[in-house]
Amino acid sequence: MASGCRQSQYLELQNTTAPSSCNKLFIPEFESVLYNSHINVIGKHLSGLLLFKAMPDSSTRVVFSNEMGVKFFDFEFKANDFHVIYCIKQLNKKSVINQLEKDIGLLIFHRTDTSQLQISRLNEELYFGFKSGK
Amino acid sequence: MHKRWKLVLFFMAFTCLAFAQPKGFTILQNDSSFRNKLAQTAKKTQTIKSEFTQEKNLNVLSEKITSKGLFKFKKNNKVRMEYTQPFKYLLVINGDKVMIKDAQKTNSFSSRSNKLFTVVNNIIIDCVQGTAPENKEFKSVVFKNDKSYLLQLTPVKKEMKEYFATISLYLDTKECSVVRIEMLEPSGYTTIINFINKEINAIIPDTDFTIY
Repeated sequence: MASGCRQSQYLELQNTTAPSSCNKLFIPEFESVLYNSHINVIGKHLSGLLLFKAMPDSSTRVVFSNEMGVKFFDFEFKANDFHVIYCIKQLNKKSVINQLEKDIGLLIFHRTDTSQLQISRLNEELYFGFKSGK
Repeated sequence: MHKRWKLVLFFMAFTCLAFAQPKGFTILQNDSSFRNKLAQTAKKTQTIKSEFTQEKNLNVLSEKITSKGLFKFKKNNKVRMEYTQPFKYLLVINGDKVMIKDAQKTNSFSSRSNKLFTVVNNIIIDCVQGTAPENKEFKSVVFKNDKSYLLQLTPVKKEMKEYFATISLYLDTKECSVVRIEMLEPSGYTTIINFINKEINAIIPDTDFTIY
């Protein structure tokens, strides 16, 4: 019921326009950035430091380790590619990796077509929709 | 065997040996004096309170993560590591119980159920209690220079080898207490913890190690 109500709210979105620069508005620009992160996965709560590092070859490396320095995973996001450099065996399951790739990739617009932007309005709020790439 | 091959093998073996020996350190063939010293220090040490800095070097990425905090130890097996930078994080070990408190929640569990989280702390406890060289999970070699002993631990079990290539503990020769821990991962990443402004046998209340 609740999700049904929410969905109907999005159906009320009305297409609108915005300056063309908007499609770059959300793409993060960084050399390296560190987040305090919590990941709840397969019934476990992991907390630690999530490092995003822009590499010279324009790929992005994402390393998650706990505060004491023990590494949980090290991922490489390339333009249309993704590699697991390292992952502890407890997390190294296809479904978990796919979900992590999808969730973390969303933050850096991995496999996202930023050239096609759909902007909609609902009351005073603007909604930006991007097409997911392949 | 051909003489030339013998010579090549000799140099290969020599090179391997040279790499195994850390720069500036010589191997202690007879480490009984070190073990005795470590045991004596352990006997006298009731508590340790120390600030620490921690550096995780992601050398492949040319990146370094620096953390800071306060370390407390109380005999027999109570440890508190309170990180203040870059984010607040608390880890308490009291006997076989572990508590982790981060910005979102507090988790308590048995150390037996989560070996990875406690391995570093157990090494510190082992060292403070003078039992580090006897830890059966690691093969240990002792080196020495003018200022420090270096206890180099190499994991024996496959499970631990996945996380650590070696763990090096640097102890000052005078007090025989740990001043630096270096953890080397198989990937080449290192984590270095330096203990500074150390106080031995300061009064530390038991409540600092309470597990909720």
